[in-house]
Amino acid sequence: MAELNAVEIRQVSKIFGFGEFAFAAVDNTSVSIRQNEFFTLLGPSGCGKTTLLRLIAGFEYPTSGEILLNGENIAAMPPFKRPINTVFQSYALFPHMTVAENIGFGLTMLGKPKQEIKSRVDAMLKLVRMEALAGRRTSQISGGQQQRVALARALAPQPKVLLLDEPLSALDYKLRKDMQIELKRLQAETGITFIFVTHDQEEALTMSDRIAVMSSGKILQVGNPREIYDAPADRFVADFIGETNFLKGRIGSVVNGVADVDTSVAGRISATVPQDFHAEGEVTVVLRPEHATLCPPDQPAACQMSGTLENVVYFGTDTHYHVRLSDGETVFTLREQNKPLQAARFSAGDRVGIALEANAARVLRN
Amino acid sequence: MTDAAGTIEAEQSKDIRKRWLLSLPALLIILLAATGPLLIVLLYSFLAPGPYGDVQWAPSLEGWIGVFLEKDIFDETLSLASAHISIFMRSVGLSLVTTILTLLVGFPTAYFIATRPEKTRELWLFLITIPFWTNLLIRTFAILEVIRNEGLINGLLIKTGLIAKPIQMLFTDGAILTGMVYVYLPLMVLPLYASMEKLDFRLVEAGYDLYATPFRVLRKIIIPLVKPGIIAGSILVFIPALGAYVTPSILGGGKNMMLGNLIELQFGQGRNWPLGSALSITLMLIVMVALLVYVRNAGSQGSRHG
Amino acid sequence: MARAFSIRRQRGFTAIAVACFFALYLPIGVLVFYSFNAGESLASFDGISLRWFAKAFQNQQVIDASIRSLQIASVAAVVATIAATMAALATTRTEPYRGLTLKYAFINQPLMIPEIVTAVALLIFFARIKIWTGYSGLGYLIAAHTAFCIPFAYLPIRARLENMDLTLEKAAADLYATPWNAFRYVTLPLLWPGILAGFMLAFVISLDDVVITEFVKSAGQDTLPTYMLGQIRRSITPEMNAISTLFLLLSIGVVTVFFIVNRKRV
Repeated sequence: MAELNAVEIRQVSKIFGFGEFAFAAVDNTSVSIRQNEFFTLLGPSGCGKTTLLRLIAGFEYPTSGEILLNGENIAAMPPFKRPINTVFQSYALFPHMTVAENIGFGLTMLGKPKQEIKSRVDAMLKLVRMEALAGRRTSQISGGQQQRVALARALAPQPKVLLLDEPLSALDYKLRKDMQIELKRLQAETGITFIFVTHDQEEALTMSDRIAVMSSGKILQVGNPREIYDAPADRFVADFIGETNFLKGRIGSVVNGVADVDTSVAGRISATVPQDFHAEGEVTVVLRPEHATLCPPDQPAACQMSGTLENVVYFGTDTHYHVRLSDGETVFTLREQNKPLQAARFSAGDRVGIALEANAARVLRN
Repeated sequence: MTDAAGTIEAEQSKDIRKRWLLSLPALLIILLAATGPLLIVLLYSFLAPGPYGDVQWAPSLEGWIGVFLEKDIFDETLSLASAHISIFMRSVGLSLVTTILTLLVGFPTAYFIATRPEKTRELWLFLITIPFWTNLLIRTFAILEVIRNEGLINGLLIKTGLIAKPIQMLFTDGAILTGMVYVYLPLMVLPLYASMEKLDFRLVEAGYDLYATPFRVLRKIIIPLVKPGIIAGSILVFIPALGAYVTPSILGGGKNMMLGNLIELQFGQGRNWPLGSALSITLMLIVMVALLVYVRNAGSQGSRHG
Repeated sequence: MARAFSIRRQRGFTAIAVACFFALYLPIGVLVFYSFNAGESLASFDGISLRWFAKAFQNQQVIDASIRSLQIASVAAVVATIAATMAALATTRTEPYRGLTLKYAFINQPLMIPEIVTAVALLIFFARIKIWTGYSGLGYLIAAHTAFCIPFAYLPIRARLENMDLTLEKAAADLYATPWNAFRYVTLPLLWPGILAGFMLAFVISLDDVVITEFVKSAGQDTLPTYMLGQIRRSITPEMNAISTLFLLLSIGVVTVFFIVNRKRV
């Protein structure tokens, strides 16, 4: 028998307001989240990802649809009855309690025996390496430490699912990187299903088992990070995740999933066609910036495109080039890794050619 | 509709029912011992006075007529009640002057507190709060002790031989004004301070950066930004000043009456409850107008910022 | 040498402020100073003495009035604080609902009507009830005081509630706290400083009241302020200075506690 999904969202809508002010924060959305996976809801602010999380937590009730936890519909269940815990964006630590009291709060509310609470709190303190600060007030510890307490507090009652609402957004860059690794470790150690909300695509790509990309209350694509990055389902996903170049063209013959596309600016290029997608006529081809390199314009054989270099932006690990293509409108972005002690080969104003890597282009489904 | 949607509706109406239940005790107490009786005052203002106070259950406009007109004892002709009108004028006039004076003194004081360093600010605030919490009667009494004929000033002046007879300061409009400014000053300073505390001094810096002089910074930047505090403070002083009873009755004596004392008189020696009721309603109406002006000003202020 | 330019400085403001504080404390200071005067006159200070305090403590009327004041203030402040806390919970942290504005208007109504008008209204109203029921105890004063104390108690409690992070209760619910437990273990402890501040404000406001008490009280129901008002109108003795000083001390005590409670921002 197939294992039950940890959480199943079935045709859930959440509408705020009435009449002409009605607004669907979550719009007839369905998604399944598997047992023990690190699942990320990714999207720009206002896309509905936090509302979806709050629906799972029980802070909002859906206007329609079902929310299943291990097969049981919990859509109408109040939050204090759901075996689901949340790490809040603001942490929401109780300011009038100590670190240990915060962590033990859920277990106290569940009426667990004192001894069990104590040993569980101790285990949690150890898990997040906060043993030394157990007796402190939450206002007396740093942001990173508060973050750990919030995690420990939500994990202490051993929930079926842990919800994390942009928990890293208040931390500075270095601490955020550490916490990303820490979160992965905690998820592996506890074996609890994590549902993580973020607007940071890099965070989503590095941490998740699977990602759902959301926009305007709808889930546009669900897949593992590689699928999301390499095979974006539509223009929004391609644009939101990483940088992308969009080229228009007419599709020609398709052989073994590879199409011959005639673009006005780059001539004919081969592009992968998504499975069971039958395109005709005008299509859009996407190309990631790291899949192209600059080449001298006097070698037309190697360069599919040419144009004028407008900008050179140095990023440390790599350099970004913005090239205005020969049609005068399209600006093509490409990225080259920096080598030690190597000066830029081209500078702004130069005529340059662009060489595309084989199999890099992809026809967009729409 | 799913059961979840049903839950939303049920929760909402349950929540509102719970909220009404929670506010019921406060509403009932205020209805019984504050708002309700006001309606009786309104009713009484349209009844005829009883011979020994109270009212007769007969409709009459005498009370309302008496607010501005008086009947000649002999030929019953009506003429303007000059005594009442002068009391009205004095009340409004004194209250306005009190408001202006407290603003003139209170504004720099509040600014002074707001610009103290974090550590000492609390102390200054504490110093302004003490008089605020101190019994109004005691503060009026303190003024009385200073200015009465046997009081501090006259006592010292006589003792040093500068004057032979005490200067009559008590029972004058000046005495009432001094007392009211003294008593209501904290009411002006606190709301002013509250809005100055939130003042963003980077805006003042920007003003100086753009060539404004200190006076122009005050006029064009600080005053417009703390306007809500100025309005709140003025209302907080003007309304109780207009209805003042204790201060004018102690410092003004029987002759220099204000509206509050005139009203009291009708329920005491005057034995004209309908007139007293009509005067009360009139006072309330003036206050309502002042509040309306405040709400309108505060409202437009809010929308400009929001 | 020119003073360094300060963006916060406004010419003359400091002088006015200092003069203002001086003027605020001078009369009170005179009152306190002369309450220790051995002589009777304000013109001369004849040495330190506690005779006026002793006299006040022996005055049965003063003692009775003080006890009555404390009784009324305690009951009125407790009832007002409970009612105001419930009302604050009912009127904050919610989407606007039907009747909410009405509630605000009602609760703040005693603040907006001049005291003398409320006093007159209560005089008329309670005079009727006294005739109907024959009861003429302290109940009228307590009811009146409770009513005008409610808005004062409501103010700090509401402010505290509105500044409270709503997600804290969400977090409690998320951690299996029933609505009652969330209130008991999270909302109430966090609200406590506001409730305490509201209680103290109500207590002092009740203790200080002159006008409404003066109109509502029956014969022999003088509170300390109405007793003082009567005395001041008749003849002023240094005993009044002593009573005022004691009253002042009480006020300062309460303000100090109020400040400490408000400062401890949990």
